[in-house]
This record gives sequence, C-alpha cells and structure tokens, in this order.
Amino acid sequence: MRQIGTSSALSTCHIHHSAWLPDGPAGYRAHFRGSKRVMGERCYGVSVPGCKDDTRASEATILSIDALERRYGDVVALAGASFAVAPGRILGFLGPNGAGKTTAMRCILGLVRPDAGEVRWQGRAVTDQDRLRFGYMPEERGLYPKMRVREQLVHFGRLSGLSADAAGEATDSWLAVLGLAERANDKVDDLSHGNQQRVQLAVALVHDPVVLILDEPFSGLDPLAVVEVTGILRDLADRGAAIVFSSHQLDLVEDVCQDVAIIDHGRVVLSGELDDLKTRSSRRRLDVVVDGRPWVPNTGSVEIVDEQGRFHSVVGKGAPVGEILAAATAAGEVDRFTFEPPTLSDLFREAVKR
Amino acid sequence: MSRYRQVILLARREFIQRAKSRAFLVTMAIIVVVVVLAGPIILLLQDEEKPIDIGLVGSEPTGLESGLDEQATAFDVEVTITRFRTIVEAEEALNDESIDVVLVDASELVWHKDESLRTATIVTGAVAAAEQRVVMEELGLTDEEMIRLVAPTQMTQRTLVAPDPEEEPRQIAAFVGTFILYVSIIVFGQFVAVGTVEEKQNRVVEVVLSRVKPAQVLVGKVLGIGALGLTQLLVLAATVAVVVSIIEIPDVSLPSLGAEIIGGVIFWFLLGYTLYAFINATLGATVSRQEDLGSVAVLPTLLVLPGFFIAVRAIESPDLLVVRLASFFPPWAPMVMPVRSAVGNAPFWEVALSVVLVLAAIYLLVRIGARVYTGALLRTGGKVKLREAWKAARN
Repeated sequence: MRQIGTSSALSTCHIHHSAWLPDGPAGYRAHFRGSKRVMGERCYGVSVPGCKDDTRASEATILSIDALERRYGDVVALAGASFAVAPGRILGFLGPNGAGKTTAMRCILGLVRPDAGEVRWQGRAVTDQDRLRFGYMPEERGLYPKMRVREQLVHFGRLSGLSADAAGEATDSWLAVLGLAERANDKVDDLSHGNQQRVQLAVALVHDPVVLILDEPFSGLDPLAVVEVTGILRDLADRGAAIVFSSHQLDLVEDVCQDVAIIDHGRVVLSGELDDLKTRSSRRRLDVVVDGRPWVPNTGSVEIVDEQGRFHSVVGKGAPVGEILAAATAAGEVDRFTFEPPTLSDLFREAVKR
Repeated sequence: MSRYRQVILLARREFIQRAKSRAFLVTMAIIVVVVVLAGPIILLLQDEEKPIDIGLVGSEPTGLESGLDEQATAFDVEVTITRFRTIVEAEEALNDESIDVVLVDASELVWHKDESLRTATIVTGAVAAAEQRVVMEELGLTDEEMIRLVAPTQMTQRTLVAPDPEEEPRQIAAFVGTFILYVSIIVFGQFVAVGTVEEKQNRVVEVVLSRVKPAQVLVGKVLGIGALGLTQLLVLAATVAVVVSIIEIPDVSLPSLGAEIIGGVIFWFLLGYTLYAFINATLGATVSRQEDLGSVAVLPTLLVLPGFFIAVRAIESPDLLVVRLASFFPPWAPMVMPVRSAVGNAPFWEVALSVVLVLAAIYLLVRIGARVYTGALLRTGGKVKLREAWKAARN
C-alpha cells in the first residue's frame, strides 16, 4: 500500500499547529506568528472538514519515496521504506542510528540507486533534471576548504543550472541573509565552525530548491543559530518548498515540523501529520506531582517512563481522569496534573519499541 | 542544463583553483627561470674546447714543445706547457687541476685520476717524433730526407652516410623533451589522484554528487587538470622559443627543431597525461585518506618508469626491437614514440597506429574509471577494493 494514500500527513489543516505551538524561545513564537503563512489558511488534504481554503496536495505536487529497498552486501539499509512530503511542509525524518535515514535521503538525491522501489516527484519517477532543483545538506559536511566562500557558492549554483549572473545574485542574497557578507572572500578553512555550517546550508539553498533534504542540519549549531536556521526553513516552506530533515533532537522536530516519518530497520514504522498522530495515539501522558514528588496512580494499565530523571506515566486514551485526579488529591497537595497526548518523544519510543 | 556544461564547470573549478595555488605559481616560476638560465649555459658549452695543460719535469728531447703543438693541431686542440723543477711541484699542480697531465723525463705520464687517451696520444706522438728527429740527425739525413720521412701521409676521407649536423642537437632535445613528458605525466597525474582523495576526504564529494554524476566528476577533473598541464607546457614552450632565438648552432635550424620537439611533447603529453590521469583517478577513488594514497599511487609510477627508460635508450638506438614494441604499448607509447619521431625513424603509419592504440586504452580506462568512481566515491572510512567498487556500481 502506498504511504500517501493512508497517511494523514496530507489530510489535516495547519490550524492544528496553534494547539501545540511550543513555549520555545521567543524568536520561534515571533517567527511563527509573524510568518506570512497565516495558520489554517492553506491546507493540503484529501478531505478535510472545516478547511476553508481547499488547496489540496495531490499526487501531482508531492515528493514520495515508494517501498524503497537497498542492501549493502548482507546489511539491509532499506526494507520497503515509504513516506511522502508535500510542498510547503516540513517533515521530520526520525529513526535510531543505522535505521536507514541517510540511505533513504541519498536515494532521493540519486546518490544511491535503490534495489527496488522508486522516488516519485510530481506524479512520476524523479529524473536527474528534476533533481537539479533539489537541495541537499549531507550529514558529513563537506566544502572545498581552500575555495573562497562566494566562489564556492557561485560554483555550486551554476552546477545546479543557474547562469553565472543568477548564481552571483543568489549567492549575495544568501550571504546577506546568513550574515556572511563580510566573509564572502574568505577561504572556507578560515571560517569558524558555525560559519562553515552556514555556508554549507547556503550551498544547499543557493539554487532556490523546491525540495530540500537536510541530514542533521542542526548538529553542531548553537541555540541562536538553530533559531536562525529554523526560521529560514519555515520561510522556504512558506514559499512552497518541500522539506525533509533528519534529526535526533526530537524537541526541535516537534517545534519545527508538521509531519514526521519514523524509520526503523529500514522500514517507516510511523508517519503522518504530527498533531494527528498524537491525538490518534491510544496512549496519554500523565504527569502528576504531589507534595513535590512525581506521583503515579496505582490503578489501570500504567507504564512509568523515566526521562532523564523526570518521571511521568503513560496511560490509555480512555483512562478515568477524574478518578485519577481524585486519588492524587487524596494523596496530598497536587502541584501539577497534566493529562495530554503523547509527545513526539513518546511516539518515537513506542514506534521503535526501545 | 546539459551534462557537458556541468563537466566544463567542474573542469573550470579544478583549473582555476589550482592555477591560483601558490605551489603551482612557484613551480611555473622555477621552470621559467631554469629554462632562461639554460640558454647562457648552452652558449658556454658551445665555446671552443679548453686547451690541454701539460706539465714537463726533468729531461726532454729537443723540439718536444713544437712537436706537441703539431700533434695538438692535428687533433684540433691547443696545448699549454708549464715546466716544473721537481716532480713534487708538478704533482701539486695536478692535484690543483691547474694542469691535466705531467710528462716525467719524456718517459712517464702522471695523471691526477682519469687518463685521457687523446692527451696520451698527443704526448706520446710528440715524444716519438722528437726522438725520431734525434735518430735521423744521427744518421746524417738531409732536411729533405727528414721531411719525406716524417711528413704525414695525406688521406682523403668520405662517409657512406652523410653526417647530420642536427643529430646531436636532436638527441639532446629529444632527451629534454622525454624528461619533461615523464615529469609532466607523473606530476599532473598525481594531481588527479590527490584531488580525488581530497574531495572524498573532506566529503564535499557528496554535495557535488547531489548535482552531477560520478562520471562527470571524473571527466571534469581530468580535463581541468589537463588544461593546467597544457598551460604549463605552453608557458614552457614560449620560454624555450625565446631562449632558442638567441642561440645559434652552425648548420642547425634551432627554431624549427624546437618547434618540432615541443609540438611532439605537447601532443604526446595530452595522450599520456589523459591515460595516466584516468588510472590515477580510478585508484585515488578507492582510498579515503591522503595517508593511504601512497599505497596505490605507486602503481602508476611503476608503470610509467620503464617507458621512460626505454625512451631514453631509444634516443641512441631507435631501432631496437624493444623500443619499437614499446612505442605501441599504450602506457609507454607516449614517451617512446615521440623519441622515435624526433630521431627520425618512425614512419607515419606507425605513429598513427600508436595514437589509435593509446586512444583505445583511454576509452577503456574512462569506462572502468567511471564505474569504479560510481561505486567508490561515497564509500568512506577505508580502502575500497577495485572489485568491490566495480560490483557496487550496478547500473
């Protein structure tokens, strides 16, 4: 079965995001609010009740990977992985180390040829010509160390099909956006680590890609740079790019992505619109603190989760919240009582069963 | 966006980045200086041969000095004569190399280290003539009789093959040309291997490959660095042209000889470099770190070396069987065939056949290289076996 057919990734309005907009850094919220994209105005979906603007993502606009398989000798990297991402959406591609993320991304970029399955773009198998409009930031960062920043960006822009003039203009505008204008004629080698990362991102963006594939784009970035980069990604998505990025920083993915795909052992074990996945989960997160200590109800099916020393319990969707609250109140002074859908980190743990 | 335009862009980057590097500019400067200095040195070597300095100690037959002059004239050299009072003084002068030989009592020749057959012949001839004169005087011969006895027999001479005044300059030029070819093929071939590993090592290759195909990277790199090699040879050629215009050798048209040799060097450089560049790139793609490059880079160096030795041998003996065979063996042909052409014994069809064989080998190496590149460029962490890379690149 094709993932996009069943995925809820395409079936819900953006309006949900207001519900889970995090208490992240002020810049985030400002960015989200100040975004040109007004929440809920655009939506992609098959059939979404209550969605006023019915611009739907159809097969004709999305990027999808279909049942990709790839083995290296005896090692199975991909065992029928599928997911899809639509223009204007950011998909967080998650999975434990060695789950097949990088191989799947390399397949999208044509760096690795799948043994079976295919990458589809706008309703047909992707071509090398299509891929000239794809941008890629590999996990293993790489630039020409002795080449000057501007020269390097112009080179990559032209390699993606831009004219010399267009590549020069795009380079200058990205250097300005990334605060690198003054370093334009420095050799990459002479830049700080953070600035090299910025140049790396600019290389992925210089040709104004319609599909952006980023492997761990936030690793090695300081918190301010993370805000900057997430802002840039949001803007690109707002302008219609389909973005896939892998990350181990689940809280960050939760903040930035509308869609997620979780891969494990070469298979996508969970994918869809993040809010939808959360509400549809059969589990709920119960976080109760009584008399300053974590408190766990002694009834119902309960799993206790230790997240770096912070305990919470996981209960079923239909758990008797009223009774639990009464029990907690009886146990002492309730400092905290939250009953909410699972976090992405809960979903991830459940999906990869570890 | 055509494939070819991308290849040109890749080649352009290789060329510009390397041409700007300090190492390349310094090498160019050194080459120009060496060639410019070579001019005056050749002029100095062209000077008349320096006179033979002979020391005399002890007794000597009368007329020895004029006899030495006569003999030396016959050999087309000059002699200078220094007399020493003791053999010790004479030997000191020998040690200083201010004289070439000492004649003791007209019966012993003392050398510093190396004997010279020609000098020995001149001195013994002069001594013999002086002694003959003494004997003839004792016999009471008239002057006329003495002249008849000692007058040298006049002999006319001819050669079956007309002497070629160009032969020696040709051989020298062929040697220099061979050497330049050999060095250029090795140096620029190594650039290709190093460049390939660099891109792998600093991982930029993954960014590049998200835009172009491995075969394009391979061809772009070989083209760009080849253009750099060609540039260097053209600068060298221009410098040589200037130097040649100030040197004159009798009966030899240096400009046309120079143009012929330089043309041959450039033509065969393009073929030889391309062949070795693809070998180097293919091998370079199988390693991930600069440190590991040595283990594979030695292979092309070992392959090219016999070609160089055979080419040097071919300068003197272009008709040897091994030379003729080597001039058709693609890895060696680019050095051996130009020598055969330069010393003038390669018929056109043989040169053409050799070129075709080298082109065929290059075609084969491009196919192999492109496939190995595809299989090996994204494999990092260690050495990839050629066979593994070959198999990994299923198409």
